Amino acid sequence: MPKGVFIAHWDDFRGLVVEHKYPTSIMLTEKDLNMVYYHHEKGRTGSLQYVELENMRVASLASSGRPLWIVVFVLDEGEEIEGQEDVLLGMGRYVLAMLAQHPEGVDVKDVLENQRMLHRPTPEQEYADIFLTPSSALLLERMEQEGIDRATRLAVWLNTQVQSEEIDIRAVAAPLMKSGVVRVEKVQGAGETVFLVRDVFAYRAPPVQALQYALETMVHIAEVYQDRVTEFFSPPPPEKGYNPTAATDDPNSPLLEDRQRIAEILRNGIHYEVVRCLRERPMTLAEISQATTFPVELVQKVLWALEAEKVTTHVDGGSLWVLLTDPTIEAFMPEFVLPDVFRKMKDRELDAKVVMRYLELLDEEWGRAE
Amino acid sequence: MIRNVCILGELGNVVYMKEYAESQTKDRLLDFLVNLSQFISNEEFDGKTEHMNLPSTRIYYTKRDSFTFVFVADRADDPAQIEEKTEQLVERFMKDYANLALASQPLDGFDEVVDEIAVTMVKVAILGFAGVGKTTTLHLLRGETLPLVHDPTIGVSIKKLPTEVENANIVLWDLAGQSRFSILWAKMIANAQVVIIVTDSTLENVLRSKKLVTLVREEVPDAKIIGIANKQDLATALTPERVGQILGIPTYELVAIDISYRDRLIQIIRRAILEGKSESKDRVS
Ligand SMILES: Nc1nc2c(ncn2[C@@H]2O[C@H](COP(=O)(O)OP(=O)(O)OP(=O)(O)O)[C@@H](O)[C@H]2O)c(=O)[nH]1
Ligand SMILES: [Mg+2]
Repeated sequence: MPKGVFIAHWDDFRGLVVEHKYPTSIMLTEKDLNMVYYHHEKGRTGSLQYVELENMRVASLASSGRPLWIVVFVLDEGEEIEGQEDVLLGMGRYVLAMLAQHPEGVDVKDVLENQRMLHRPTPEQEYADIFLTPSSALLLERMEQEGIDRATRLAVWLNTQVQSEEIDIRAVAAPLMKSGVVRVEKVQGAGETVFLVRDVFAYRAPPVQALQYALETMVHIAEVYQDRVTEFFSPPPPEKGYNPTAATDDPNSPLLEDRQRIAEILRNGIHYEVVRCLRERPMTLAEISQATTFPVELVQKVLWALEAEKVTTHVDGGSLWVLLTDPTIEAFMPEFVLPDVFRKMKDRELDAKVVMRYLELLDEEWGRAE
Repeated sequence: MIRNVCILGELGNVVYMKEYAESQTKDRLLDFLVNLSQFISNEEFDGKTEHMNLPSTRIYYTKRDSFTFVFVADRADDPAQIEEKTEQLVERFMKDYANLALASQPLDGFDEVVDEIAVTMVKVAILGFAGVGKTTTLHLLRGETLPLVHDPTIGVSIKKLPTEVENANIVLWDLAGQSRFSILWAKMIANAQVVIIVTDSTLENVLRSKKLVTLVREEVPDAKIIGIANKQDLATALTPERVGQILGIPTYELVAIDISYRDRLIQIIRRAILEGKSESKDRVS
């Protein structure tokens, strides 16, 4: 276990400023802080940086957005990093999430002693990045039409769509590649080729599991809970229920806006943990706080925020919190593009080799599951 | 830095006015604001501060009850910093002085309150390649003993300049010049009001430093840039005029290891802060 931790943030006037330190006896020079900052600017965000300082070794994690925060773990003498990378990353993520949303609740001693962690992003969180990265969803839409496309052609197309010279196809494609939605391969004679191997869809699912749990073991709230869910998903006419598959060409449509919200909730580590708890069963505030290890005041704030988004609601005179709608991003096989792909092969717009490779990739991805 | 603080009453009358440094647009500005204050209503602000860009300055304004509050600051100032100051001032004024102003009484003690609030941090970044004398310059400015050997700066060294310049607290950022640290330069000059580009006055170094001028112009377009032709005591030194010509920025001579240059250099920085970016632009037009 690291023997200490400190947290610093970047200030354009004061440089790296230390805000929390545990134990308070850790001594840091301006040079130490500069080295930590330097390694983060040089390295990749989202990964741990190891730095040998003049009289200590540290491992640190920085926030991806602005303002820049850096969590620095001071390693014990002779302490190996191998084997505890996940713990350090987990604790780092926990602190960064707290700093962003509940800075007054940050307790570095508690984090270190009780190993408070936020797990690594799940697939659905990685999918969420597609909807939160500018132009990434646009690129996905294009792939939903094409199935297969050349990287160079995609870049040209994107440029004409976005009409900005500075668009970086790599950054736009990154969330699609990282989450496994597209695969990029060099195919002989066709150059770098992009394949759509998974399609994703963001929507609000009914909270089936939690509702089932309530029906079986929390009879006193089951009916109210069921009614609230029904009211949202299929209210009596003339009200229209929730229909996420309604056609949307309008970029300002409420559904696209809702997709953005869903992605934001999933991507927010703290909101996501709360949602995950409530997917299982209704819980009290105290139970959620205990299960997530987040302070009660923070969980309360989150529950209210989620309530405003129609994700949570409370029943039983306010004592129990339930999931009203379950923000979900699901992946499925994009078989709908195949007829077009075959037609293009017949018309010699696509090379048979490329199409064969596509089928192989789809089979790798989905074949075994069936 | 903050140049003017002004409070207007309901009829566009000047309730309070303070000038820390000249801003060319002042008279026109006042006319404009008087007009503005008649047209804007409280609801538009909702406690927030708006700002508007002029060629060399930025005007921050907000309205509370019948009063319009105005700050004039440099374009290079960090808007967040100035907005916070405006809000502090509004709060103090409304709490302790609004009633006096309405009764046309003198605002005793308000001047001190404004002085306290209007102090801003002004960042002066010292940029240049390794070993040209940036850290030596920093020590010279701070009146410290000068190190004789080159101890390369790691990252950056941030120090206050004890000398006062009106209502500005000056922080000097002495950047590391070694090439591995070049990835930090753009980030580190963010929000600088003045950037001093130090050269050792050799032809090779001055030519290389043109790149730094470009970097500064791109990253902090509102900052004032000054060139320094250091190490003028060495035989290899180009004249400051020549260095200035090559860099395309106003350039001053320096021997950073010679304490007698200290006052001159402080005056140069002082003027750069007070004049701001506007000076060079206005001269052209
Ligand atoms: N002869 C002479 N030497 C100088 C002058 N100014 C600085 N030096 C010397 O140049 C060397 C480098 O000075 P520094 O101030 O440490 O250089 P720096 O620009 O801070 O270098 P980095 O921190 O690596 O970017 C030192 O040995 C100084 O004594 C000068 O005007 N004349
Ligand atoms: Mg130095």
